[in-house]
Parts: sequence; C-alpha cells; structure tokens
Amino acid sequence: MTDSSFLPEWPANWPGALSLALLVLAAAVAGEFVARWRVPRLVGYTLAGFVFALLAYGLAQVDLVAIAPADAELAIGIAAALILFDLGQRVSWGWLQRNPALGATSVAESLLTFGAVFVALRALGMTALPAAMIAAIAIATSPAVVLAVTRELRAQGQLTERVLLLTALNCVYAIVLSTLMLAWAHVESRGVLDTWVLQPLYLVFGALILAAAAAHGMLVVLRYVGRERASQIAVVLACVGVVFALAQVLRLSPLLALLTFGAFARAFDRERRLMAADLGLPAALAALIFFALSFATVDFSLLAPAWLPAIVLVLVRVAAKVAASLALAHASALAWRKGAWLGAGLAPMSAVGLLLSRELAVNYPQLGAQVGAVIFASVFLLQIGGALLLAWALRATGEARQT
Amino acid sequence: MTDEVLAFTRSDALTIGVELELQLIDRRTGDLTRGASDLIHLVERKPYPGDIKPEITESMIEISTKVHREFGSLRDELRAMRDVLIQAADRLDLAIAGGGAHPFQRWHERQIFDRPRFRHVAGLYGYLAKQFTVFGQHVHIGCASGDAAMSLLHSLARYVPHFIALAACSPYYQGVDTAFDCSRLNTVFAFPLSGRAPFVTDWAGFEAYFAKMKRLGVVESMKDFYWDIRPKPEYGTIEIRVFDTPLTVDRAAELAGYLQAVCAMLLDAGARPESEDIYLAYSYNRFQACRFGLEAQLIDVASAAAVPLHRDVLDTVERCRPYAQRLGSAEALDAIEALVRAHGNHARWQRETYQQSGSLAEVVLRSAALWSARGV
Repeated sequence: MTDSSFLPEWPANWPGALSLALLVLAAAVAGEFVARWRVPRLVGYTLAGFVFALLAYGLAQVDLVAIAPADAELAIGIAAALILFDLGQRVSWGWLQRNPALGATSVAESLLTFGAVFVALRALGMTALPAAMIAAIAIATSPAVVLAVTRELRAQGQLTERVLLLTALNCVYAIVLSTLMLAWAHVESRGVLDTWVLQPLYLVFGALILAAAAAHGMLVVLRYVGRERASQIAVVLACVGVVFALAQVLRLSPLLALLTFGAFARAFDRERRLMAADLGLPAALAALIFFALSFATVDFSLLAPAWLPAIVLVLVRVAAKVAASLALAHASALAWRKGAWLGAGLAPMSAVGLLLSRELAVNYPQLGAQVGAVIFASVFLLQIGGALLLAWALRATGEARQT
Repeated sequence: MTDEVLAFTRSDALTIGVELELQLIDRRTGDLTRGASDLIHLVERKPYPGDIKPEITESMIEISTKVHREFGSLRDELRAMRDVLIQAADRLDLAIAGGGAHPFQRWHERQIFDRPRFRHVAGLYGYLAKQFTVFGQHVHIGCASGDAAMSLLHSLARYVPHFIALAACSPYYQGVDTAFDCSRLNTVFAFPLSGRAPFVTDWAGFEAYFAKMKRLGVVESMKDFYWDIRPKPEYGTIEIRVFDTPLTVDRAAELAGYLQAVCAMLLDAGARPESEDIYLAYSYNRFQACRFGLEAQLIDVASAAAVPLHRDVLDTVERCRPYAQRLGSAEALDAIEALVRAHGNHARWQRETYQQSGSLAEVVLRSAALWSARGV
C-alpha cells in the first residue's frame, strides 16, 4: 500500500482566514464594478459583505467556514481605529476659534438630531432608555463613509472640510452621550449611583489622557525617524495599534481615544511632521476591510421588527441635520445652498454606531439587542444611502473632481 | 468693426494699476485647494476695496486695484485688499499665498472654474490650460495715445529681464527644484501666441496687424495674445505680464513703483525704438533672467557687451531717482536697491526656506504666513 499521507485531507479543513481573504477579493471587484456608474466604491464593498452574509448558510455546506464574529470584530476594530485617527487629525482647533459659528453649527445639528430622533422613537412607543440610547448614537456621522467618499472623489472645499470637521465633533458627542446613557442604564437596573458616576468620568478623561500622551510620544518618534515615507507610515500605524490595545486593556473607549489621539497629534504637530505622513493608501485598505465586514456577520432575520423605527430614524435624522446646517449657514460664512448640502452630507452612518451598540450589548444583552437592531437597520440604510447622498452633494457643489 | 474694437482709450500717462493672481492653500497640507467661489461669495457680502475675481481654476483668485498715480496709495490699497481677503479666508480655514507657481501641486487635479470663457480655453489648450496654474502679477501703465503705448512697449523690452529677475518666485514646480528662479514663464512659452509683440511702433500699424491676424483666424480678441507686454486699448494702457506674483503685497507695489519710474525716464528721454535689432538678444536675456535671476548676464545690444543684471538694475535705479522723487516713489526704489544689494528675490527666500525646513509644504505655508503679514 502506498503512503498517501502527504496529500491533503478531503474534504479539506479551510481556515477562517481564507473566507476573509475571499471576502476582501470579492469586495475589491465589487467596488470597481459599481465605480463604473460613478457610485462610491464603498457601496460595492458593503454589498459584497451583505451577499457574503446571505451566503453563509451555503458556505457551510461546502465546509467553508463562515467568518468568525471574533475575527471580524478584531479586523473591523483595527480598521476603524485607523479611520478614526485619520478623521481626528483633520480637526482644526484654529478654525473653530476663527469661525465660532462653526462650533455653534456642530452643537445645533447634534442637539437637534438627538432631540428629534428621541421624540420620534417615543412617539412610536419605545421606552425612554433605549430611545435615548439610539438618539445618542444617531448623532454620529460615519467617519468611514465621509473619509472614503471625500477621498475617492478627491473632494476639496468648504463642504468637504466642514463635513469632516462636524463628523469628528458629532462622533465625540455621540460617544460621550452614549457613555452617560450606559451609566443611566446601570442606575436603572441596579438603582445605585455609587461608582457608576465615576465610570463615565474615567472613560472620557482616561481616553483624553491616553490620547494626549500617545500623540506626544508619536511626534517624538516621528522627529527621530525623519522624512522616509515608509517609516513614517509604519510609525503612525504602530501608534494607532498601541492606542487601540491600551484603550481596550484600560477599559477606555477605543473610539474616543483614537479620535482624540488624531486631534491631539495634529494640534501638537508644530513642525508638521505628521502632515507629511500621508495615510491615503493604508486608509483606503482599512476602508475596504471595514465596509466589506460591516454586514458580513449579521443575521438579517433578527432585524425584521426594527425596520419601521429605522426608517423613521433615517428621515428624522437627515431632516434635523439639514435644518440645523441651513439655519447657521450664513452666520458661519457659507452660501445657503451649501448649507443645505452640508446637512445632507452629514447623513452617513456606520462605524461609531455599530461599535457603540456592541459596547452596550456586552453589558446589557437585552437592551443591547433592542438598540442594536434599530441601529443596524439604520446603518444599513445610511451606509449606502448616506454615501450616495454625500457623493451627490459633493458633485452638486462642484467640490468633487469632475470625471 | 475691427477699428472699433481696437480704439485706444486715452488715459493719463504713467498712471498705474496692479493685478495679482493668488494661490488658495489648504492650511493642513499646504497643497492648492478649491475655494475661489466660497471665498468670493464671502467677500462680496460687504463692500470691499478694489476688485476680486475668479480665475481659470478654483484654486486661484485674481485681485486688481483701481487706477493710481502714486506708489503710496497703490500700496495702501493692496494692503487693504489683503486684509479683507485674509479675514474672509480665516473663516473658511483657507490660506492665501503669493509665488509664481505652487511648488508641488499636481496640475491634473485642478478644477477649471465654471465659466464659458474658461471652458473654451480648457477645451482649446487641453493639458496646457491646467498646467497653466501659474500665478503672475500684471501691471498696467497708462498711455496718452496708442502711438505712445506702442513706443513705450518696445522701449521697455530692454528692461523686461529686470522685471523677471526682481519678481522671480517660482523656483519649485511639480515637486522639483527647476534650477530656474522663474519657471513660470517657461509654462507661458508653451502657448502659441506668447513671447513679444511684433515690431510695430504706431497704433495704426498695430491695428492693421491685428486685423490681419483676425482675418487669418489666428486670434479672436486681444486676450488670445500671451505676450510679455501687450497693449490694452480699452483701458488705454500697456500691460507688463512678466512678474511672478511676489510673496508680499508690498513687494508687488514696489515692483510697480520701479516700473513706473523706468517708464517716466523713458518718456522724458523721448525714447523711440529705432529698429527691430533691440530684440536680437531679447530671448537670450529673458532666458538668463528666468534661469539665474539677479545673477544673470545680460547682453546689451547697443554696446555689444555682457553686463551683470544686478549691476544694470542698480544703474537703472540711480538714473530713475529724479523721476521717482517727482512721482513719490523714492521708497519703492530704495526697496528695490535693498533687494538687489542684500535680500535677494523671493525665489531665494523660498530656496532658503526649503533648506531650513526640508519640506515644500513648509515653504508654501511659510509663504502664506509671509503674505498675511502676521508671521508664522
């Protein structure tokens, strides 16, 4: 008898990493496919992931392992970390000082979004806590979508810069507010205030201190590394990884830590060392992975009861953002027309929403499931719809590179 | 019909007006950015000095002054316009910079401003139109008649290298040191109707030339000529177009003051261009000035001798002094002299800044800080 042990076992035992690689491959192709109709590539990435989720059952039949949620979460987490850092470093404190009405626009659109979504969900019969939680998450515009779309269209101008700035700010509000909601959830379930008053404080200030220290450290290393591009990018990516890991170990909000890490890095960067490290390519790859995975592990049958509140949320949210940006357009030195488009450009939802509802689900599975379903359904609508709306806005205002 | 179009409007001799093409800069990256329409929209909300217009791309605006008799009032108006623009740009997080070219912009990313004439130009010239994202200072000099204009135009040809070298501020282009002090004019040279005006010394002759060119279909209007100096009959001026936009408005005013004094000297001497021989060394001298700036060696056709450009400028400054005194622009000549003797042109400033910082983005951002007159 011949020894055939050198041959692989059959049926083969495929590693989960293969599914991940195939998904990335499918996403890249789908992205180029939709780009032919001037649709942002992220729509293709997202749809590829969506199809993957639907095929999960079929995949199991050929012994191809579905992507493990833990793997997906780690990959999404790292991609999101880079995206949030990238957005954070676009925050210009100087601009907020020179144009105070811009800060007012930010606060107004966020408050109005929160209030309008909360009232609408209560009107649909939802209880106060989940409604407030969802409303807080709805404040945030998707950093991943706005960065991917503005980069893909090579957009430049007031609409572009303001969408990026207001997104960074409303993400911070959403993270802080939902942290407070978590504390509220705790008080409601256990009826004690004690240490849980300290938790939001620890979460917020801990993240800020970590971010400031990391920003300072990164700039020191960048100064040493000099102007070699590959080394600069490696340093930045490594620091993003360090902050992401430390935030998890210290039980701080990784989202807030990374966003403020980016903002501090820009603010401290007097010699403009960070600016030279162009993150274009790594950020584009992170975006692809992020979008492809965002729905690849979702069980859509669980979302059935969430579609009605989600559709209401989407409409109310977009209306609130448009109204606030329009109202403050003139005061913030913007033409009315661009003011309206600015609100529409803030429509996209994704990263922060999903990750925040995941944080909730860890501590409060029941509340998390209710909030998560509505957020997931809204994000599904506004990841694709919001990207299309933003692309439309950038083209309509002439800020996209004409193709 | 043609005669009507080219009727030369009389204007007061030696009046001056300045146009500056300016760069709109992203404060984060130092790259050119789109913002002309947003900036102009904001400035136009309130009354403002001078005139501010969009240019061929969204990353450029053009400002122009009223007509002035004196260097002092010209400089004051330019300063006032700068302050208005800086205030508006602050609210939009834009920076504004001078300089003849952006050191590292990628021309294919420029957006052509949405206006029929600009779209026509972009369609006709293709990549040249986008590559033409260069920034010049144009100075108008009033002339009493069309004949006087043509006479002055040719008499000035000898001084064109001075203007190029003093204003030169485009050493970097597409991310490299071009070795030129003024690389901008190389870009202008790619256009078919660039260079110098034909040797026609009276207005009737020029009208005849223009009519022929139009009949041939070579040009439609005066705007199709990209000459170093061209007549502008509707304003009653000649327009000197070889200056790179300097990094400060004060320098822009000083260059205009120097030009005005040279013109006064030429008018007083009753200078008449005798023969086309004055252009024998024109392209050579022009190249020398673009390439070497103040270090250029000029060939003087009259004496058949080579003269260092900086020497020639200092001599000219001395000969112009009495006229400058009368015109109130002695201060401008002092500044030009100091430039030649000590500071160097703005191309040198940009090269030194690059040596210090090692970054072209830094060169742009510090240039913008210099333009705002507020420091870094």
